This record gives sequence, C-alpha cells and structure tokens, in this order.
Amino acid sequence: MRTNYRVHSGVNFRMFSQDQLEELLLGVLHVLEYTGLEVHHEESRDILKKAGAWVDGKRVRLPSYMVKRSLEMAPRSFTLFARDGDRKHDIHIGPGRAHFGPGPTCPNFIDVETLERRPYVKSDVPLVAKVVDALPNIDFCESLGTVGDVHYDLGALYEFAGMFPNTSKPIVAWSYDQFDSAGIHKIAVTEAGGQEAFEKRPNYVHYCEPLSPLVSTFEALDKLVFAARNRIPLVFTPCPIAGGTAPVTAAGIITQAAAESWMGLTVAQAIQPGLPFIMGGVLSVMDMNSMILAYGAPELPLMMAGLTELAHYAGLPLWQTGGCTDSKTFDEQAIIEGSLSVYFSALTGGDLTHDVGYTESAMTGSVFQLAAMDEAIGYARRITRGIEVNEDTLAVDVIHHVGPNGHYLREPHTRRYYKTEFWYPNLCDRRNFEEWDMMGRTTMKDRAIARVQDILAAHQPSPLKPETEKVIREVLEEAEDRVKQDAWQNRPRAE
Amino acid sequence: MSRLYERLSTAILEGDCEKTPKLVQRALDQELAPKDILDNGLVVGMNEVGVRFKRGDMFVPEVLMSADAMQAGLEILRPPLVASGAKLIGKVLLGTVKGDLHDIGKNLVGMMCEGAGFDVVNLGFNVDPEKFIEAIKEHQPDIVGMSALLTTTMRAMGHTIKAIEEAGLRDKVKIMVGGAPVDAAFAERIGADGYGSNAPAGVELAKQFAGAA
Amino acid sequence: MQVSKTNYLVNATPTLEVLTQDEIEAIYYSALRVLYETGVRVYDKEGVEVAYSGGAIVEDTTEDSSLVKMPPWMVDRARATLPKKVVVIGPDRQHRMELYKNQIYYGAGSDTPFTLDPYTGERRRATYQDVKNFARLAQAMPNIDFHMSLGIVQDTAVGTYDRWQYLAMLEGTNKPINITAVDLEGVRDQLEMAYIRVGGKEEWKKGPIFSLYIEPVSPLSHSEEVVQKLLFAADHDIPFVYTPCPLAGATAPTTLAGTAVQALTESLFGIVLSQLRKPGASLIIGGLMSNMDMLTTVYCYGSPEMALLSAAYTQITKWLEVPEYETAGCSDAKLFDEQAAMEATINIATAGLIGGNMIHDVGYLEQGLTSSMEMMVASDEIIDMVKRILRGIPVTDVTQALDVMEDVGPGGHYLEHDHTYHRFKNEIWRPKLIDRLNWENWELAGTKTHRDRVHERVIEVLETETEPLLDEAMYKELRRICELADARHKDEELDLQMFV
Repeated sequence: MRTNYRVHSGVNFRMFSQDQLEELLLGVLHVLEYTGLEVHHEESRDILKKAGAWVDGKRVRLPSYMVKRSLEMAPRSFTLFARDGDRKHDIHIGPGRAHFGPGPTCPNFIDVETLERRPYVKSDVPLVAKVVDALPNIDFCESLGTVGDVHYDLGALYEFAGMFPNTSKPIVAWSYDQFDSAGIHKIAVTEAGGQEAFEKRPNYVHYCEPLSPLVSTFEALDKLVFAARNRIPLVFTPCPIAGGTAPVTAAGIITQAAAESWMGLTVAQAIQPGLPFIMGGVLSVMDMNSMILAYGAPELPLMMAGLTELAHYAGLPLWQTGGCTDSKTFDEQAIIEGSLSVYFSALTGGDLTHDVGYTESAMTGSVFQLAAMDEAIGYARRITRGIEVNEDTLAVDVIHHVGPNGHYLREPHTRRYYKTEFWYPNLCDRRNFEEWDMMGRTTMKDRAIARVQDILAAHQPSPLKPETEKVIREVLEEAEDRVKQDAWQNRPRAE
Repeated sequence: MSRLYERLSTAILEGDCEKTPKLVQRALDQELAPKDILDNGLVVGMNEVGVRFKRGDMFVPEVLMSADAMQAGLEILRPPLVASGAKLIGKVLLGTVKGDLHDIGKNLVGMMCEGAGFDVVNLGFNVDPEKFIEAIKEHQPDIVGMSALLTTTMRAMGHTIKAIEEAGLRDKVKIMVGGAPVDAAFAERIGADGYGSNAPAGVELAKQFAGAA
Repeated sequence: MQVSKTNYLVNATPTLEVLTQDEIEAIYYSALRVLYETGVRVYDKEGVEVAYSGGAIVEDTTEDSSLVKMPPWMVDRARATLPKKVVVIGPDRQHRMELYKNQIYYGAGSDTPFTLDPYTGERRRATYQDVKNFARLAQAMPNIDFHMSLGIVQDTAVGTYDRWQYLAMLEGTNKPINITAVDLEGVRDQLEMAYIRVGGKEEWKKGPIFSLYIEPVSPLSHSEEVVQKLLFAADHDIPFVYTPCPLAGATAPTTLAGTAVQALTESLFGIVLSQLRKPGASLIIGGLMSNMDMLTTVYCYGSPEMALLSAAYTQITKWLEVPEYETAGCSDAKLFDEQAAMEATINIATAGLIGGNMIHDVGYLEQGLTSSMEMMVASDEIIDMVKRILRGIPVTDVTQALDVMEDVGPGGHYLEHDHTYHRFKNEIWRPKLIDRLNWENWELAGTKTHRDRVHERVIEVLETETEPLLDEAMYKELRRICELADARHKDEELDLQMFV
C-alpha cells in the first residue's frame, strides 16, 4: 500500500495566485475606505454610522475593520432547503460546489409551442418552474422573465406565486420593493411552517441589486433591510459593465463589484449577524460596436472566475452568471457562449450561477436554452469530478490479465465501472450515421425542444400545502388592491 | 410450461449465467422439445435484449452478460438440440482482413452473435484471403463477416470476396462487411451481401441471412 | 507616488490541474510495471532486435511477433536523451511550432473517410479537392497553427493516397503539417516530396516541415508497419507522433486512470525504442484517449471523458518532459450543430487550459469519420474566445484602477475616461462570426443563425483566389513522385472504383 498520497478530488482551477487575491482584497477595502459609496437609504446610513462608518451626506466610507468584521460574520457555507423536505433538492452552498439556475426579468420569452419570440406573460412562469423542477442539473429557480400582463408593480409577486407551486427547488426571488418582499415572504413562511421554522430551514433567497458605479440605491437597501430583519438569505449583486459603469479592466471591475456588494454586506451583518449573504454578480464588457452588455463575451467567464475566487478568498459565496448568450436564436452561438460560461462556473465552484437560459443579451428567456445548458452542466460536471487514481482504477492486474490484443468488454472490472465512470448524455447524439439518418437526422436543437415538451407534458412537481395556496391567493388579492389606491401611486421613492 | 419459458427468457435478460443452464436442464427434464426451449425461451430473451439495447435501455456490458447466459444455456442445450435433428441457429465466421490489426468492433459482433445463439468462429485480425477460404472449408459457416478500419485495408475485403468466388465457395456463404470507413455503397460495389453499420446491425443482418429474424 | 510592488507572485495565466504529482507518479509507476511484467507484442523483427540489444526481455516468439518486456531502467535511460522540445516548421518558414510544456498549438485532424460537402451539406467520401480546400481553409484561419488532412483522398489510387494527400495539403497551406502514411514506402515518398518543397535534405535539418503520425493498436500491440515507421523516422530525423487510441471499456480499462496507464505503457515503448535506435530522436506522445459509449458502442470524440483523459495525459507528459499530442475541436455530432458547438467549446477550453502542445482534430465530426469545414471555421473562433480567457487577469495598479474609480465616483461613468479609451481595444475581444446585433438589426440582416454565418465564411474562403504556394515546376516535381508511386502499385488495384 502507498502512503503520503495527495490527490485532486475533482480538478484544480486557479485564475489567481494567493498574492493577487490579497492585492485585490486590499484594493476593495481601499475603495470602501477612501472613495466610499453613495447610500440612498437613510435608515441604512444610520445603521452604518452607529456601527462605525464615516457618513458625509449620502457618501459613506467604511473603515476596513468594519468590512473585515462583516466578512468574518457572514457564513461561507449554509443550506437552502427544498420546500417539500426532499433532500435531493436541497442546495448545500460551500467550497468547491457549483450550482446552476435561470435568471429573472427578460422582457420576452420563446413560446414553448410556436417557438416564437413574444412578450413574457404570467402563464409562462409555471412552465419555467416545471422545467427547472425536472432538469437534473438545474438546482434553483428563477422565472426567466418579467411578467408583462399584470400591473407593472406586481410582476415580482406574480412570478413567485407562479414559481413556488411548480417547483420544490429553492427559488431566488426578486422584488420591486419591500411590499413585494413582504408578500413573497409570507407565502414562503406559510409553506415552511412559520417564521421560526423558516429561519431554521430557509426555502428561498432574496435578490437585491445596487447600481454601478458605487451607488447603493434606495430600493436595493430597502429590500436588503427587510431581508436581513427576516433572516432571509440574501443575494446582493451589482451588474457593472466594463468600460461603461465600471473600469474596462477585469481587475478594476472585480474590485468595484466587490466594493458594491460589501457595502450591502456591512449593512446586512449589522442588522442580522451571520445572515447568509451571497455577493455577486453579473460582470461583462460593453460591446463597443453594438453597445450592449455582452452576455456571451469570453470576458464574462473570465471576470466571473476572478470575482468568484476573490469572494471565496474573502470567505463569501458568489452569485455567478453563466449559461447565457447574445444570440437571437437557439443556434450554435447560443450553445458556444452558454457552454463556455457554464464550464468556467463549474471550474471555479462558484456557488450559484444564474441566467442559465438567457438569450439575446438578457432580452429573451428560453427554456430550450435552459434544457441545452442542463446538458452542458452535466458535461462540465463530469470533467470537474476529475479522475480517481487508486489501485483499483489503475487496473494493472486487469491490463495484465487482458494482455496484448485482448479486450475489456467482458471484464468484471468493466462491469463495475462502466455506469459510474462514464457520463451518459440526454441530448447529445452518439449514434452512427446510418442510425442517426434513419431516426430523422435530428439536431441537438430538435432534441432539446422534444425534451422540454416531454417534461411539460409529463412532469409533476410536488404540491404545496393547501394553506399556502390560500395565502398566495390572499397575497395577490391584497397586492392588487394596494396598487389601485392613490396613496400607492404617490408614495415616496428615494430618500 | 410457458412459465418456465418466461423464467428462462428473464434469466437471459438478467444475464444470469447460473440460473439459465439450470432452467434449461429443468426444461429438458420436463421433456420439452429442445427446439421449443431454444425458440420460446432463450431466443425470446435475447430478442428482448436486442429491443432494449436499441431503445437505449440496456448497456453493452449487460448485453454481453446476457450473451454469456445464452451461451451457458446453449452448452446444455446443444447436444439434445443436435440429437433431435433441429437446426442450430447458424454459424458465423469472422475476421479482420489482411493488413489490419483492429478487431474490437468485430469481436463485439462475435459476442453479440453468440448472444443471438450463433456458433461463432473468430479468426482474429490480419486474416489473408487464403486463410478465410481454408476456414470456410473447415467450418462450413452460413455467414462470413469481414471487418476493416482503414481505407487501404478495405481493399482486402474486395480481394477476399474475389478469392472466395474463384475458390467456388461464393454461393455457399452469405458475406457481410463492416467497419468505420465502410458503407453500404462500398459493400455493394465489392459484391458483399450486406453491410452492418455497427455491431447490433451486424447481428440483425446475420439473423436475416440465417432466416431466423 | 505609487511605488512598484515586489514580493508578488502572480498567475500570469489561469492554471488547471487534473492530477497531482502523486497521481501522475502512480500512473507512471504502474505503466512501468505493465511494460516490465506484461510487456507489449511487437510484430517487427528489426524492432524486436533493437529492443533486445537494448536490454529487453523477448519471449513467446511466434511466426510474426514476440512479446517484449522492458525493465524500468531502460525507460530511465531513454528519458535521459528524450528531447523536451520538438520543433516543426512550415515550409516557407513563416509558421513555426515550438512544442514543449504548456506551449499550445491548435490544428486539424487527419484521415476522415467522409466529409460534409461545403455546398450541399451532403456526407460523401473525401477527394483530392476536398483535402486541398481544407488546407486552404486552415491557411486562412488565424488560430489554426498546423494542419492535417481532414479527409482521405479517395479519388486517386488507394495504395498511394498518402502522397496525393500530402501534395494537396502542400498546395493549400504552408503551415506545419502532420502527415499519415500508408506504409514505410509512403513515408519515404513524402520525405522526398518534403525535401523538394523545402530545398533539400540540409534544409530539412534546419527545421523539419512535417511530423509523422504513427498509431499503434491498443491494447499493447505494435504492428510491423508501426515499428518500421518509427525506426525510419528516428533514422531520418523526422519527428513523429506516437499515439495509441485506447478505448476505455473496450481496448483499455474502463477506468480513466487505467486507460492512462495502458496508453503510457504503449507510449513508453515508443520512447524507449526510438531512443535506442537514435538517442535524441524527436517524438511527441499522446493520443486520442476516450471511452466507448456503452449504449451505442461508439468511440466517443466529444465526450467529457475524452477531454478529461487527454488533460490528464497532458499533465503526465509535462512531468515526463516530452511534448504532447492533445485532442480538441471535435464532436460526435453528425453535422455542425449545437451539440458540435458544445462539445468543441468545452474540449477546446480544456486543452488550452491544461497546456496541450499539438492540439489536433479541429474540424472532426461523427467520431472522426467525417470532416466539416463549418466545424473548423467555428472552432477557429472558439479558440480565439478561449485564448482571451487564457490571457488571464493581470492585477496591477493600472488594472485595479483605484484612482480611476475615485475620479469617476458613485454614479459616474467610464466611457470617456482615458483609462477606458487607452485599453478597451486590448481588453475587449471582438467577435467575427459571433453576432451581437440587437433584435431589430439582426432581423434586418436576415435573421441568420450562427451556422449560416459560418457557412458564408467557409464559402468566402473557398472562393477567394489566393496566390499559389507552389510554382508550376515544383508542383510538377512533387506530382511526379505521386505518379511514380502509383505506377509501382498498379497491380494492387481492383478493377473497380471502390470509393468515389
């Protein structure tokens, strides 16, 4: 037997050295301490000031010890629970584990029947959730779209109300304001069995997005404060654009994004020490010809990998971006761009990767892209599983037994390993030409469409408790009433 | 009666090399006709294996385990089968042609043919036309299968068929060809009787030729 | 004043490891054991003799082969003279491959029986013109560094197709080429052709213009032709690629580690034999290492196991200090579609990350049976994208841009800042076939798919006239060698057109 044997369990990918990570971290602390951010939320400014921040009007600067303390308090690992208690849908966030899911807020959707691009509507939400629930490599749910056929202030609520019954996988919920947040929370808490039960086993995550560069908006912090008070795991993630709202260099945009996240972190930890906090978020370049935020650019996986390593170095999980494309249609470009970012997300173990299924630079959500990416994720995961090198897998005795010109098809060794050693695709076709020809010459697009349609026809997600269904109806009714009133139309926004 | 056949075909499906011969023996003890045991028990099982494999529900190692079970059952069944005058399923002669050392595909065909109940004679690789002819004379197969992996060795298939013709043996055998660079058009041009695009297709072809499909 | 930073260790590029050194050694010492205890079967008397004189054990000799076993010290001795760097250049010296640890070069794949017609999309057998066209395509692709035929020439004589293939490639490209050969005579002829192309034997010494592809059979079987080619290549300073193609589950152990052990055993045999024949003979090891898909029986070119196993093997070669023959840009799809795109993207990224040297098979579809121009052109751009990522992230005072952030401040923007202006061209990758138009403009442009644009580019290259790379006289001289070879093999042909 062999001793002193160190192995890679999985593979080992590194964008940065330890020295570079230290340099980056210190750069973020520098920005927070010397440049500071504009915080457009009076309550948050008060909280920060009490905790030791320097507040000058709206400009808030944080001495580095405050930030370091907040980083310390935030957990590196925690669990998001399936709402129905099915352990296999739980998400265990921690080092080396990459999870994937769709994103929110595309204005358009690819119709699952006609395959046409059209505005996203309420009835699309359950479809997306169902597909998410069924796909083996998708771990959490977002709706892929902004509901266009309800009151414009209620889209987020309708989304959650549509997703929650149709998947038991954890949902990442976004909202316009803390009224939405409250409604969503009420639904989730009912299913969990009360606020205390929810805090022990949270079944959804709250998403907030500040503004780049270096602005913590009222809406973002208002919701953050709500989430922190109710101990809802929180994603606080900017979407800076390199060359536009952030420095054009990767190191620069990473630094800025981290600073924007950590302002929120500091507020959140001050309210609720130990709140599960996921920093983020969507980093890419501005295409200098078309002026779009390029979701398919190679810089996206590059920068996301860098930000992920910084987050992990600092002790936080990361809200990543991947599986998305600038392509206007389900084609090879969509898959090239999506697979590239999915692969790097898997390599960095970068905790929750969202926007899987985004097409047309986040203008159109597609469950077909999502299904294709499910395959890419499976593929990537086989690679990041790595190679096991031990006495049995080295198979020296088997090689000896089979010998020159022999074969391994009948070996007991083969029988033991062929199912687990190899990944078997769902959408990739591995037939020879004649059979593929006979079976209709399908492309992967054809097969992805068929798979989605099969899922929609047959898959049954686990049902909600009846009282939760009731609460959903109540919340939606109450919200509809609320937005009709004048007081709502005239409510104050920024402070 | 049919229960026993059902259990037999299940044993084949499950690749059970211990149960299969036991069940064959039991069937023989119950004085069931060997041909019936073959057709309604063993072959039904292997046919189901073929169906499931084609559908993507069974893996190659499982198919081979079933083939092993089939052979284990046949070992018991062959003497009474021959004694009863019933025709065996058939005999297949396989070889990789001259100049070519690749034989994994051909070996897979051989194993799957055994699974289908054929007797298989495997000549190995780098088999020149003379050796094929010798083997045809010695073993008197129903079917000859040739395999090649290179375009330069594919020619040898044509040469071999020609040699078989010249030896006056062409009409005694059905000839099938296979191998990655081979296709149906090529098979036709060189005068083969059929082409199999992969191992399962080769077995189907063999069954067709043997009149058993 | 910002003082420059010292004591700063950086990743200038991202890094990837699949195996630790301990795991590499575990595989290596296992391969040594297999080479010593199990041995390999060798079908060439001369090769057996060379091995025997070098200290090998020879036993179980039959009419056509012997079992050759080599003790570990023979491998150690061979490693001492094994070149760590191999150079292959293009005939006009405009292109160069310096093959050593972590230097990456991407290139095409070889001998596919079929090809997808660039105009009709039909799958048909490859011809001389196809091989020439692929070479022209490779010439035009900025991220293709070396070339292989991407088609077996099947409209010329069968037994000499390799010479015609080489001629077609020389017509189309002056990048370094990796050739295949039907037999030893084919190598000889192609070497003659190379001497003509480059201006003589002495010129060859200044930099060989091709490497020779040699493929032993797994498991552990080295045919007469393979060994003869190896000895000839060693004698004539031809760098060669010695690459088994083990199939995990069928001709190699099902476990990836076991396949690596077996492949390494086969490679080590090639290393020892070549160094015995000529210390300092240049070789490149590696191969197409993949799994048999146990549902379809197919030899996977697009599986994650292929990418993973190749990456692991690359690490082994880095540790051994010999250049590596990697594989990427290939797929099991039957046409260039989304599956091809996915498999190629991930395997291209993996090969680049791990630092493979001669990364071949760009343009391969259908388990290496069919070549596709669209696959090659699309992969060229994928490689470009991957290279952007491989450039990594520099963390310096300039790139961290803390002072720029201070300048711009909360709510500002960076578009007009000098920092952006001076850097965006270098920082932001520019697509060619990847499309970034918004919906309206994309509709106006004809709602093209990526495949449409790739196809257009293929046709564009094919129909763009380029300066011939060979002048008339040279072409005639080269062609003469092919014709002489045909004449020598006249009697082997059957009376019919077998392929095309």
